[in-house]
Amino acid sequence: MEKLQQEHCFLKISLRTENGGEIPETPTQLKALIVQALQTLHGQVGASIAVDILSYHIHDDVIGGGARWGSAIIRAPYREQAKVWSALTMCAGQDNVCTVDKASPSLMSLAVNSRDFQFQN
Amino acid sequence: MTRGVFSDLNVQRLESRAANLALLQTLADSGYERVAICHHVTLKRGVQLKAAPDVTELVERTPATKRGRQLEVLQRLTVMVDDPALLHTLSSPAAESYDLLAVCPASDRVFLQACSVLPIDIVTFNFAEKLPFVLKFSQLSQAVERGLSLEICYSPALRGSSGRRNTLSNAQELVKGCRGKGVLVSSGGERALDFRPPLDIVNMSRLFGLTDIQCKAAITTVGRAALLHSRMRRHSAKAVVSSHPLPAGRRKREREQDSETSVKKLRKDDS
Repeated sequence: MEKLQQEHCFLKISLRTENGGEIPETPTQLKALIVQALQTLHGQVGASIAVDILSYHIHDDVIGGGARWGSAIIRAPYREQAKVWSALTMCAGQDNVCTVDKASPSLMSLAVNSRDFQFQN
Repeated sequence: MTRGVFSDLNVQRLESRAANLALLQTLADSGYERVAICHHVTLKRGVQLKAAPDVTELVERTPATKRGRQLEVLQRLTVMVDDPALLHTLSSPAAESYDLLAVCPASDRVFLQACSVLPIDIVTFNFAEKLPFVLKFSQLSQAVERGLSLEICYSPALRGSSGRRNTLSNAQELVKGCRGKGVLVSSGGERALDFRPPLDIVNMSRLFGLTDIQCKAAITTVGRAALLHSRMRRHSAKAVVSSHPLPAGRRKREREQDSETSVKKLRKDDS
């Protein structure tokens, strides 16, 4: 029986900003931010990792009075998951906070995150 | 198997209760379930340690976590000291009133005492700058054998390139020196920008040289072990018990005599 090889890793990320910073407005700007973060932390080898933007949405949190924030689904080679994840965590920008909500080799599992469920006692 | 409790045992205390509550709410929403508010003191001659304040003086309420429980808020005292003559204050009742006691050594002599004899729970370092002493395997392993935790604060790595370089370099030296055992990863931050969710920290800890299991343990079981170490240190009664093991030959003869006696009893009962 042939063993399944995981080719890609899909990450669902959230981009927030503090102190009046700005989040990327377009997927192109988001891609530039990711490549910059990879180059800052892992150098030219990190910048050569093929990261693809599958979707990018900007949310206007008008009700809470908070700043705009963005959510995206990106794809990276499975072997480079740790490098991409650590670069997003540490080097997303001076005033940006990039968090990975979920990471999975299957795209369908990003639809729901059980850690976001609210339990009522 | 139950999921581990994610803990951040180094959250700086802020000036106002509202600011503390906002910070704790951010941590609770990120997935943390145990947090220690850190009171930082630089120990000098004439400085007196104050007892831990009530939690209600720091926050008006404890926020709820993602799993519907209340966030566990602990209080921790971190003492930065470079003179070994001042270390006796760590045994005072004021220091005992905190849930966790940590020392940040600023000299080689204090680091040696912290690893070997001091009644503390956590040895922490200022990784944003170059350390004034060398992290030796003998001293770090002695600390781990005593049940102490060795802390890495990751918030300097999020603030700029120099902090990132120094933090990664020093953290890798620490992990190499202690073989990854007893390593605790916490934020040490005071703004929302200084914190990251637990799973991001698990992944980021790989850059320090920890294995996958050690990465997960750094924010779950090691924190719990530090808390248990503190409770045993403060609340358990200390006693000395002496035991005298019997020689091997004598034990064997006694077992044979016991078995003969029991067989005779059975035969007597049957007859």
